[in-house]
Amino acid sequence: MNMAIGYGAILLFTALVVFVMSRGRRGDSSMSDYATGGRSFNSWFGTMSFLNTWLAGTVFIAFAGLTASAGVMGMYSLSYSLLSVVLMFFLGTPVNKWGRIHDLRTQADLLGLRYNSRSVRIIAAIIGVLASVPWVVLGMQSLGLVFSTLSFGQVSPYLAVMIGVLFIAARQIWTVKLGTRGIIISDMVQGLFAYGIGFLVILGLLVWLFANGHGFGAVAPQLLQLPGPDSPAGPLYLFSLIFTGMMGAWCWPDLFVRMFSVRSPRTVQKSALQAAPLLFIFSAALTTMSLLASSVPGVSDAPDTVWFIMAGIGGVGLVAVAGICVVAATMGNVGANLQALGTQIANDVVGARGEERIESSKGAKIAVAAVTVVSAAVALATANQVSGLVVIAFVSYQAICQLAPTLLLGIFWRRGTAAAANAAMVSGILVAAVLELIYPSPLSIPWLGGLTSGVAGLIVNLTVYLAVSLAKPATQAEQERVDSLFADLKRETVTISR
Amino acid sequence: MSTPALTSDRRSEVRRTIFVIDLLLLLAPPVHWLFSNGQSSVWYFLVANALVTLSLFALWKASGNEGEEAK
Repeated sequence: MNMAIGYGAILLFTALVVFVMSRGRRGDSSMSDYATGGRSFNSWFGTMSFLNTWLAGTVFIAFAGLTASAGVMGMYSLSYSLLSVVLMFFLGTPVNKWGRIHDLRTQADLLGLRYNSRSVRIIAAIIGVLASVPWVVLGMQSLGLVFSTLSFGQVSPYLAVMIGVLFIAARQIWTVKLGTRGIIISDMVQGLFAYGIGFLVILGLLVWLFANGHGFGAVAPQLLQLPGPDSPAGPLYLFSLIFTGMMGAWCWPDLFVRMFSVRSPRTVQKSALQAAPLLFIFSAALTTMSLLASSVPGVSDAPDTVWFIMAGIGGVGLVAVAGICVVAATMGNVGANLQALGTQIANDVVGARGEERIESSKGAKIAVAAVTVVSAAVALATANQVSGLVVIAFVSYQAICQLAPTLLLGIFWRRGTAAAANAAMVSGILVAAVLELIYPSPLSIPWLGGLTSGVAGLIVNLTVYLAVSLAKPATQAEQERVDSLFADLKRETVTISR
Repeated sequence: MSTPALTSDRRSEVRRTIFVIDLLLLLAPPVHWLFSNGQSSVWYFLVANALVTLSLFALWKASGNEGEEAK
């Protein structure tokens, strides 16, 4: 009976999401509409699509578990998330405006325009795809814990992973069919449930924790420590984690394209303005609850299940609601990732080989379906080796943040060149990869004061970018073209060029 | 008496200043070290991030109507 309630709740919620998505269906037959949802959404849709892409289901599992086991250190995710929202505010104008003027569909598309370079576009697209796939696979597998918990002991953990992967893969039928428009509409439903209802659950759990002697005073002293100047992790370790998270945020292709989907640059800024308090309140409550729950019996033995252990206080109904929150957050993140990756492969890897821009959405739909099938196959094949994939996912974060200098300096600085971008991305990834092999994540590099491989790679990456840009500036014609791109940002009205 | 509107350059300056303050609050290692022990570490994360959240409202105000498309 308990299992029927748990699985039934997931099915009902999924049916609701699909129903809402289907009602918002329009004929997005062009590549541009399929990739950006017609650039038509208001700021509340922008806010929720950002949150549902950024706060994946793993926030209830891995991140909550990290805070329950490692203590206050786990709250670093709050800091880098909010710094990412601040960056979103500044990126809004150039990204949205260039997107509208030049019909940009993907992050790699924007880099191709800014640097006037096919190689920059292809390298960025490939880095984005390769770094994102492990996260898609992990996202699919993370549902195993949901289906295992909601079976109340009836389904083995391995079978639960299989069910989770097949379930989320089947859900992508609507992602493939409806593209970004469908994703953003579903983000609203999923986000309201994951972070709205989820927040109410967390609030109730916080009240229970304080009322039952699990306040801050009950947290073990070693869980209330951050790495200081003399810590074994190194004095710069916390800085390094937050900095990597902030730099990497807008390098994720799925998150970046959210800025193309809303009406205007001001809408992106308003989305950021609305996202900040929601993100703060939800994440602060979740991490605080996880920290306080560290003193609850059983949590230290299985910290990744802290969300479900705590929900168990409220009985089967609350565990089912907790499961829906994880599923809702995972749906948003996995769907956004698959859609962005498929579109990027069609638009910037296959599409960049030809002279003509791809105008039909057919190729993107095939690519999204192909990435879904491949990811699901990898997720099923590695269902017994999740720890190995976690390592690959850590490595991929060190890799994706190597796009940051090319992306951010390209957007805010006129003098960066294509040669600098290519050299910087490649050198940054090589340095980060070598250091990652020697000092695997989450370890820091002792002789660099606790910096991680990603930040060390970023230092080299940035140095190369600046050195090459200054030593070998763009030709006069190219500089004039870039100046004209930046001049577009100052204009009140825009002229669509394609 | 109405307050004179800020010029575009002045608004950019205000936005940059807010950005630098946000970075210092959440990224500067000495700030992390200052609150590295005990319950103050929890309050550091909560208060510093609350301030950065509020800074978004300041950024919004400092942007005026910049970025709004003419209809």
